[in-house]
Amino acid sequence: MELEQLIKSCKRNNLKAQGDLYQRYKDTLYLQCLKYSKNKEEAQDNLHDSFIEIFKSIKKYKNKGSFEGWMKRITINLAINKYKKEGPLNITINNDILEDTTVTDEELNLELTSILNCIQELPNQYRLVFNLYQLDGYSHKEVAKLLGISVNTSKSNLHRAKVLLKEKIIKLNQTKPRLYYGS
Amino acid sequence: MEVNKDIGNGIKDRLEDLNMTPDTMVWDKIEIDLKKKKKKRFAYFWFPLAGVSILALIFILFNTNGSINSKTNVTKGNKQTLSPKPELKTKDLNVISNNSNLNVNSTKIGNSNTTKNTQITTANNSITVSNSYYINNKTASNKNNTPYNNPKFGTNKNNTNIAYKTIPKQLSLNSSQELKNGNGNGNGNGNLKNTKKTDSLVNIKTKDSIPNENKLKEEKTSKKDSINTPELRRWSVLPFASIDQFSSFNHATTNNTSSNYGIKFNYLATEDLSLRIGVSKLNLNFTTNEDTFNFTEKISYIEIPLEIKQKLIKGKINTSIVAGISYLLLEDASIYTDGIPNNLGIDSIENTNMSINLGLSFDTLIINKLHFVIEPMFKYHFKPLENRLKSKTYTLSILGGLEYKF
Repeated sequence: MELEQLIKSCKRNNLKAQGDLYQRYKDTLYLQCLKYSKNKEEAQDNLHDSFIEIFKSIKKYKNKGSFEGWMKRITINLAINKYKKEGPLNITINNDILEDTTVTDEELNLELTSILNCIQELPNQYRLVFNLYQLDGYSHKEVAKLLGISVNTSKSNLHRAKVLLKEKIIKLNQTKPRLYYGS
Repeated sequence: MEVNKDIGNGIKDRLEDLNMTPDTMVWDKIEIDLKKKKKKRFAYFWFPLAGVSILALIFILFNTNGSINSKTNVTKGNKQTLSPKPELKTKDLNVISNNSNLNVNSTKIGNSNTTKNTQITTANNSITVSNSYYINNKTASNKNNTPYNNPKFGTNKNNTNIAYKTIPKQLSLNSSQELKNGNGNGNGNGNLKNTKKTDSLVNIKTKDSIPNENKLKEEKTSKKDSINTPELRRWSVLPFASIDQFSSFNHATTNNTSSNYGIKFNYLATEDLSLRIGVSKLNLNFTTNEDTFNFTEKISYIEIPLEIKQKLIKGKINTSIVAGISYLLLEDASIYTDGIPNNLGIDSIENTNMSINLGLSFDTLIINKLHFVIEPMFKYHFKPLENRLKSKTYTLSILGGLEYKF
């Protein structure tokens, strides 16, 4: 079924169409949820909430812009709301702010799930900032507004997240067998 | 030589190859929740329908009362004419009422030149005769020695039917003839034993018609008066636009000037009380301040008001009080943080809402049938517009419109 027709059917609360839409986008949105969550279970909860919200709000979608982008924004907003509810983090900025955050391709030649785990293990606010800025292309100004923090906090959180990620990746490189990138 | 790259960019590139699938139980749970929601939506769907049904029921009740009243009046009128015959029962009066209608039509056939007033007279004569006939017939039936003691007329119940079905045409003809002669003279004494059915009817009618003339003249006059009284224009339509100030009892709002435009249909149930239903588009616009950020929300609802309007002061400017409820159906919503659309928290905006409405209505006649209307109104929302803020919200509005009565 064409996407436009599928959306129309979903707007009429057609359960079969909703099922088809879920099948079409479940993997994309699940990946989004995995990046923003602490673990698989939380990601599946977020995916559930996201699709419920998508079906509830689909009447508001006016076919302007990418539908996938619209769904992703809902997913992101729900994830943000969830961690915002937990309250702001008291994050202290250490002196390692100037630490180098570059890695080689070889160092990143790890299992993808291991890299994902590294992101999931980040403190909530670091993870949100890293995802929003680095993986989903929001500006620091937008990140700041979405999370209710200052632009400088967003920038320092991002840097700290990268430092933590590098530490984790180096640690993984030392303990786990490497895979050849591209193999 | 190894090339160093930013860890953020490196991770982004690597994750593009990641593919993962959620467990099947995720959809199972979504499906269950969607089915639950469908049931909920079904319940919501009945709210406006219930409102419209109640309104329709009220219309019907008022209309029925009106027609019952008019029927009662007719019966009362007949009862006065028939007062010398106390043995009449309700059932008899019903028959009278029916005969009355039939005779009016018959008279029209019998004498095309008959005026409206004559028709009324004829109808009344016929009613009297019809009753006389029926009562006498009853008596005859009891005596069991009358030409009417026919198997067809064996019981009072049968007589009722016969009176209802067979008499009117004959009566009408006789009435018309009598009107042409203009004397109303007759020697009938109501003796049914030795007269034919038609004769007896003529005789009895003639006897009763003379004393009725004065009453009929009075009735004629009152009928004329009622014709001269201007008819109430029961229906009106009011296209309107309003400026609404959206506020909250427990949250500060700014930039909260909103608008509403639509149409209302008004039904005048009594001289002073009217019922109205409408449909309009409510565009709410407001800004709240949270954590140093300004959240601007633009929410559109389809509003269906169900209201009662009671006239308080009649004059050059009529003043009424308006009370009712509005059913609000979410049409569109968007949220901006400092002007940037993000729709954060859009999920917490309620799909449906209701408000209780209270206000005043001032209207003045501009030209024939067209009134200018101004209504200051207070509307309190039953539910917060969005669960996130848990606001106790209300709107203050000034409505302006032109009301056309017909």
